[in-house]
Amino acid sequence: MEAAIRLEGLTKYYGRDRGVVGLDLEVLPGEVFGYLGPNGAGKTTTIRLLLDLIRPSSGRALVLGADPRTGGPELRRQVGYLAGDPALYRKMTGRQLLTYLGHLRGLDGLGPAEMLAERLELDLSRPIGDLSRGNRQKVAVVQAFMHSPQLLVLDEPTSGLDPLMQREFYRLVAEAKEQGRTVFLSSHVLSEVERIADRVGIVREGRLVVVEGLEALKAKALRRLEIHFAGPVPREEFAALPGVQDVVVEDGLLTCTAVGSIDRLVKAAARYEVTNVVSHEADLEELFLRYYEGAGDAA
Amino acid sequence: MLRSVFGAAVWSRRRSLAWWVGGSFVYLLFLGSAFPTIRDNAGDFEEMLESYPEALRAMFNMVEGVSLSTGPGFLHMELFSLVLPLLLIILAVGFGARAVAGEEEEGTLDLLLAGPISRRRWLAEQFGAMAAVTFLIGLANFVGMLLAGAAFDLGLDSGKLAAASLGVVLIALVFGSLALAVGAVTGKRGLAMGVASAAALAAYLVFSLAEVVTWLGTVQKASPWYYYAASAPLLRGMEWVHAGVLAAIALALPVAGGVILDRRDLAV
Repeated sequence: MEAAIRLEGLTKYYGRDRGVVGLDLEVLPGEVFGYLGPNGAGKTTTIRLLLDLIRPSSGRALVLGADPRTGGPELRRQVGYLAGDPALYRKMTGRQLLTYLGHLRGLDGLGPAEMLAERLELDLSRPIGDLSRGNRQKVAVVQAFMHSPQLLVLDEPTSGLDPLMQREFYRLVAEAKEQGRTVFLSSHVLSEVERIADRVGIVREGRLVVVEGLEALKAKALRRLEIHFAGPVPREEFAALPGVQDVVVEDGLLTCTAVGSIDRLVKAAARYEVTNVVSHEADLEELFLRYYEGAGDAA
Repeated sequence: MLRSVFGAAVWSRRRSLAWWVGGSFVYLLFLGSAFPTIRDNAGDFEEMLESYPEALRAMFNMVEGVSLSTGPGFLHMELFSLVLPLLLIILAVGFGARAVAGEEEEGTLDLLLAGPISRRRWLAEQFGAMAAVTFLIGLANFVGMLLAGAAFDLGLDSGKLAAASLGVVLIALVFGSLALAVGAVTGKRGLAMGVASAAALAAYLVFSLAEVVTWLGTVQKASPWYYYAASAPLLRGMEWVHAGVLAAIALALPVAGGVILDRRDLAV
């Protein structure tokens, strides 16, 4: 089967500044692919290359089997795009903007946008400039989905959406997947793509450092845990657990870093009286440092 | 209107378009009402103009035989020598600079060009919208002058007035297209406006001063303003070759800009 997206040594420099370097990747049709990386890693550069907004310095990208440069408008008709910081016409109402974009994409005006807006509880009658950040993001989401594209390219799609709307957004992605569409979405938070992505690629300083199935990645995920106990607990008992590192105990407070499953840790803690558990997902930068630069080789 | 880039570009300027049309009418009627006074004192005015330095008179485009005591002569000097083309140039340059560079700086160009529309088509439709809006305002001015002419007895020839009005639209489009092209090449709105405004000013000065500064005489025909003003269509009627030169420049600039726009990266 032809890849929905194929990158072959895709490289982009802005003058002497690094954009992305030597990306090789294949995203399969019908797949939800999470493109993860800290800010400035090259996620947006990759996405803009896919849409022919910028041109590669070397290597190439194939989108739905076509070169974005030569595929032109016909190719982009089949792609839905959501920019990282979407700029919209502030003086238009949501309805006006979506009608305009709908016409350009060959729809008869709003098309399914009306229903999408309803699902996201978006008021289409207000000027976009008067909308909150979250509501502007909804307009951007609707325009990406409205023409039922074969491929959705979404740059940080849930930023600004409240949790309820994020859930609705995940449903939209799941439906697109059910219909056989491909979704390529970027994020700088693992937990965001965790719930919907089949596979995840992690980009760091312009290079793709790993592409893995979600399960494999989860097994390596790092978490910072704080466990509050009613009384003092022995440090050694926790430090000895496999996959548990950096254990510090101060009075009744234990802090540590856990890799992958936290099952053993929770069961060990359960032998004492626990008053509170706080879990922070380690940020991506930390995850990279641990696993892709030597320190985490044990995992 | 919101069916095409052309439609949306015109639609988004519907309010300013209305203001331009309304403003033009008010201004032209006001100016027309001043004509009888000027005509009756044309002798004094012309004496005064005679006493001006030659360079200053050149700036009023005082061609052979023009007189303030006739309606066409009055409009030729008062409006067509500078004020009217200047106003339409301001309009067209603003439009041209916003069409690509302005939208690129705002980020909205990203949204549109990520969709099924080519960069060349974007440019072509924006040019079309700029031409249409400039033409509409030129037309409104034409109608306004006809009305003022009838009301205050300016004795205008509608054919010559149409030719002169078309000339104003064309010279405005030359510099609007320059702003459009510079914006398409650089993506910088301020630069596009600056270059186009400076070019318009230079074109006007080269044409006017060439009348009195000998060494400029040879380059006068390199100034687009020459093809707007030298034939004085309000007094002498349509000069097709000159109009054709202006139209060719206005069309060629966006085409050239499109070649570069097609090749370059869009700014975030």
